[in-house]
Amino acid sequence: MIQQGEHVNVQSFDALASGSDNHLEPTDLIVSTKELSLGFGQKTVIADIDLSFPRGSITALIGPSGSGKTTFLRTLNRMNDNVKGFTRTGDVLFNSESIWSPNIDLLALRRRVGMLFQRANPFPMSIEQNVIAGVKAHNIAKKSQLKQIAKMRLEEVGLWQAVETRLHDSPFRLSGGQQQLLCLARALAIGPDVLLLDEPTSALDPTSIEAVENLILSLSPAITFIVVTHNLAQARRISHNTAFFFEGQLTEYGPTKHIFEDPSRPETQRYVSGRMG
Amino acid sequence: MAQTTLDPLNTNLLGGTSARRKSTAAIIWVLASLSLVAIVGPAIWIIGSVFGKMMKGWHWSVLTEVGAGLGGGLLNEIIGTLMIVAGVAIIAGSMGILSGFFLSEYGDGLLGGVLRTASEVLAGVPSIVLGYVGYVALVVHFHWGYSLGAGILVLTVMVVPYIAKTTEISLKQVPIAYREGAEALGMKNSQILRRIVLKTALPGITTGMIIATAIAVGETAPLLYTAGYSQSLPALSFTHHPVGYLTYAVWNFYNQPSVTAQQLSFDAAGILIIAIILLIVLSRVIVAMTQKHSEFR
Ligand SMILES: Nc1ncnc2c1ncn2[C@@H]1O[C@H](COP(=O)(O)OP(=O)(O)O)[C@@H](O)[C@H]1O
Ligand SMILES: [Mg+2]
Repeated sequence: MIQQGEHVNVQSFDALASGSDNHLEPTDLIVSTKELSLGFGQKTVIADIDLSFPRGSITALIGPSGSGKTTFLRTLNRMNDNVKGFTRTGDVLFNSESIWSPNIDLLALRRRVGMLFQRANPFPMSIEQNVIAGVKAHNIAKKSQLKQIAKMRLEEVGLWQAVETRLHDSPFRLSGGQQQLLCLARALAIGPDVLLLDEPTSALDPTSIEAVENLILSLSPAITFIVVTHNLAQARRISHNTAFFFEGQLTEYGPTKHIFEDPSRPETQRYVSGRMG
Repeated sequence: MAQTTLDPLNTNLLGGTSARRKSTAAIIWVLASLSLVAIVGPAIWIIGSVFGKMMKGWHWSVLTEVGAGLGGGLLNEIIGTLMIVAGVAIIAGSMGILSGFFLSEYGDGLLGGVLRTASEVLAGVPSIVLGYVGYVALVVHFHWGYSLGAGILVLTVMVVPYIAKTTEISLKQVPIAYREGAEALGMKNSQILRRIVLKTALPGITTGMIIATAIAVGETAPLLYTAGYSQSLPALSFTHHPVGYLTYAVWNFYNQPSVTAQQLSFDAAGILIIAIILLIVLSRVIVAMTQKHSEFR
């Protein structure tokens, strides 16, 4: 098995609840943002976000469409850097170091902080080649090991049985759910510490949703997950902490149970009770 | 919405529309078939009659002998056409693909706009005008004489805009999701380009190249001004030696009052058609070989 970070006490995930007295060592935070404001051109999308993600935790980002969840998420592995008109102030720390620090190699950062998109996006190459595309790009393994890695990762995401006999076929003949699992296997194959998921199940059927959710749960706490989701039930099922984005602000952040059962802010209350888009 | 659907007047209207839609569909179908016949019919007729005439008086010596007055073979023209086409494919191919790549990756600014406009203007210049410019500039001013180099350069100028455009379009059509997926994996730009972008764009680029090559194979006017004509085998020289080519043979021998000459004209035409069919098959094979895993098959 490829090492994927350290084990973490699950209890400590709730420690960052707003107003909590519990103290966390800064090193327990794998990713944190400092007064992060993001925008495009003249427009500010989200302002002044201070949000921290404990190592090994699963955090759900919820909020109405257009509230900046995707923009925020994509900033965490610098996918927005080259987007036209993108503006940023503030900082993002990965293991206590700015991701824009000259010491940080962008490609190495993205190897540590992987991403899964809303629409599954396998590459136009065989199923097997898809899984090992990142492994080859980063030169992680010897050529003779690649097949074995592909098999291991496909088994890990529960896809092996379905694709065993068609490893050399096109990935586009798989179902949407299978394609998303394939993308997950591809992301896992380079051994990330953090996975950013942008509505990873919004285009999937219930069975596939369950498969992806179970996978996230089983990969935690080895991998830290930050998951944008419109599916509130999903946020409740899988996340330790929830951040509610609303009208360009981080309106509320805390343990998922707290956000859903006893939110502090009326906007959060309205959103989680389904009275707002 | 539900209300309007239940409205009886509307239901009637919808029914009428459906019947009308059916007859419209039938008319469109008939028109489409007619246009298909209008395109395919003449093509088959031309190809059939050329092949018929070629086969009737075919001698294999056409492929092995050079021309001699109004007789002999077409070896000099075949080799000449191959040399011209190879030169155009190499020079125009690399220039066009690099320009198209530049336009698609960095062409959003002013420079890109200027290049794109220049390229479009160039594409609109009639080939005979390009031939004349090539004659004045290369043949006369640079003292190249009628030559392989002058012919290749003029055809290059002619097809580069075409290759650049098809390359740019093919690269731009590569789904952004592929690039982002690869970026998110931490792949280098050069890896993304080689393993994903170029591979996806290849059918479009190949098709553009093949069509450009086919244009080069089939052109006559600009070559008359620049490559000249010769009945001996082409010299291995870029300048000062005129070159024969098949389109010249088609045009020239057809107008001669001699049966052997006219037979050569049909032979040359037949060989040209076969060459173009082979080019099309080649492009299909390349596409099929590289696009086994394509999303858009
Ligand atoms: N590349 C872009 N250029 C300009 N505006 C953008 C871009 N991407 C997103 N936006 C704008 O930023 C806002 C937030 O979008 P997004 O982050 O996608 O929200 P969410 O994921 O919460 O639905 C929207 O108003 C959207 O129009
Ligand atoms: Mg979004």
